[in-house]
Amino acid sequence: MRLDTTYTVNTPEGIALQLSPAGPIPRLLAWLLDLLLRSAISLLLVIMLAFLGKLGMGISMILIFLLEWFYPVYFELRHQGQSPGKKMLQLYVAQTDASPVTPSASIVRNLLRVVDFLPVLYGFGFASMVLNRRFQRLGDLAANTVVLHKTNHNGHYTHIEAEPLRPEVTLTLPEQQAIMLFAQRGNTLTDSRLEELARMTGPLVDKQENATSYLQGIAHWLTGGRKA
Amino acid sequence: MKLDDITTLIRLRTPWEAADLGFAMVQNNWRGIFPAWTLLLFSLSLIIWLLMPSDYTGYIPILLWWLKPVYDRILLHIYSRQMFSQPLSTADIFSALPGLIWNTGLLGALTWRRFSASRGFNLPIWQLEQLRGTPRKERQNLLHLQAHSYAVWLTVACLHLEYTVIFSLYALILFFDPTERVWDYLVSAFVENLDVEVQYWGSLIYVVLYTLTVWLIEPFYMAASFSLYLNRRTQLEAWDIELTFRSLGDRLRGLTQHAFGIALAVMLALSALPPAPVFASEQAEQEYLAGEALPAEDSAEQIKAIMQLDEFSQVRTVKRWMPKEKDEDKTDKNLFELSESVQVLFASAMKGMLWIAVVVLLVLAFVYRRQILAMLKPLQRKAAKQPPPDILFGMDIRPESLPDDIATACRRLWDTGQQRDALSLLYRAALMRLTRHDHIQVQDSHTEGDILQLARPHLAGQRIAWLTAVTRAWQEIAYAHRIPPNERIYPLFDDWLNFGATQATVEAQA
Repeated sequence: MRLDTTYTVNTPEGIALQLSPAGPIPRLLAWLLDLLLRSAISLLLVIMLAFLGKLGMGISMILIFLLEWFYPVYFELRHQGQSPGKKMLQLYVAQTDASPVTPSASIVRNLLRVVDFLPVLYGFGFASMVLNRRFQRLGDLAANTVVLHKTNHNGHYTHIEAEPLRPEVTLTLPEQQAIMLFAQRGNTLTDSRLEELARMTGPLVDKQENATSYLQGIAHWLTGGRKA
Repeated sequence: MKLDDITTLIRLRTPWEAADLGFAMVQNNWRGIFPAWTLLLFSLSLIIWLLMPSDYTGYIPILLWWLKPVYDRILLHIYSRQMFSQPLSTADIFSALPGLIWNTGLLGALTWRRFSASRGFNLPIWQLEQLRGTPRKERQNLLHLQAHSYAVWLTVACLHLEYTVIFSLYALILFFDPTERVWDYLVSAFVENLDVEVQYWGSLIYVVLYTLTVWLIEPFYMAASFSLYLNRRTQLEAWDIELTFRSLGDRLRGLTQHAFGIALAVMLALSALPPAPVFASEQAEQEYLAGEALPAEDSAEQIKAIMQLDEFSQVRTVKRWMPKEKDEDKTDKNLFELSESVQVLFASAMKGMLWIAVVVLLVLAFVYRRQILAMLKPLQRKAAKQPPPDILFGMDIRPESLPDDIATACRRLWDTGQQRDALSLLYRAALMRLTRHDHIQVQDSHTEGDILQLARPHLAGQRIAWLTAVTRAWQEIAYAHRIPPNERIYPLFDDWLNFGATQATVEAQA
């Protein structure tokens, strides 16, 4: 079993979901971005309400209090678990089984920021993340939530030029996926590397003059291309 | 380097996922990393502390910080071996030290390249690829193309993690110090000169805490950098594809060798038969797909025509209130006075409203005191108190429908050959007990087994044993049409009294 950060959740429909929890580095950067944004909003509030004197101070204090405590809750519940900082780093909050975060869980995980913040600047939160395989801080553990990477599927789809070809042997699913990736990522690799890679499939391309275009043809066939 | 021995799953990750993989590597292999790493770092720290003249001990953390490229080289050496399944012993790591110091461009890294923000990411080019001069520069530029900003942000993030750790450690000391001496020290360190002894302890604590910080963060930083580097190379050289293609090649080679003999025999046997179509015929595909793809314009027209059908183009009129345009030309020169009076007005209105709200809340609290108190109680099952059902599975279980002396009635039925009715009556009586007196929430959807499960936490040992026996006997006669022997059934009739007895009578008997 090779090491990876992901874990698998099986849905009742029998679908295995691969989830990729986000570690301290992206979460710290997302938090910093959110902090910047919140600070900017707080500053604006204070300036705008300053003309009301002490009353304005009071109102801005109340608003800043609400902002500090419910900013993450609002975004987690109304924006698919993504605060602006998380959105920039393509993270989102979900329950550990990848279902959307529930209101009570969101409130719990954000109220417990107090505990994670101890002794200062999320010291306990960091310790918890380092000791946990899913990088959950204490609030996450209490609310049964996890911060996940949002994977961008079909990220590198390119049109395949080669003529579609039917392979002569049955290919397993990972092999099919590798061949499709081979064709789709062809433009990021040099020709000699492509040929070298294609030759690694051994008997599949033994009789072919041009192994690269043969495999690209198979990839085209696998992605649904048929001879016109 | 043999790619087949790699211990991490190679796939194309986003750079942040790669950084996380670095953290997972340390989590997973900490036994192979931390013993040697702890020994090296703490002994280095100790040596520096002993050698440093006492006036300059405050600068030791800066020196420790400056020497980070040395630590990176040691850590990378450990990781690169672990990555390809060659774990190192502590002795191996120590004996590799001279090589790591002389052959990895350490001089540059400690001087003009010390401030490089992507030093962790660049290190494998020096240490593992052993490139120098122009080839190194070109290689580094190539690797930086899509990864440099991530490497820089990784360094920035780890810098923040260091702050987090060292401030947390200081704060912990503060929290657990009952004398407030530490606080006094921290304050006076900034405002006045300290006497020699206090300064000694202050800088000792600083050195220890900083060493702990580096000890904790640097392995993660280097692992994440290395992982980022590997991910970039995976992207450039398609390692993930290479691994799968190699195993595909191996599989096919095994297949051809193994299959050759079988294929020969099968071919001989089948040569007489007409060839059968193996793959789906063209006709089958045409059921799903049009024969030829329409040009884009034609299909756009078709879509348009369909979208104009009534089903797709319904128009609704919605009426709603909208604010009217207001003209705000009233400029008052006594704006300040106005704002002040508005403030007073607003404040008094708020005050009034708050008092009203307080009164309303108090009244509401009084009216709903029962619900509020109920909410404050520890979590209770919100088992709605439904009236127990009268009929379950088509069996009438109202107490009125049952005879008074159930045991005797059952026995009479059983002896007159109506065994099914006897057990049915007994089971009905048992259900009546469970729903009426033990308050078990039985629903029509429950099976006999479910009821047993439901009842188990509520019943004492003897009663649950009786219920289990009755359920089994009832299931046998009801579903299997098997009549249980008399000696199993008579005790059940006799024990009905124990089962059916109310709590009070049980206690009275005991």
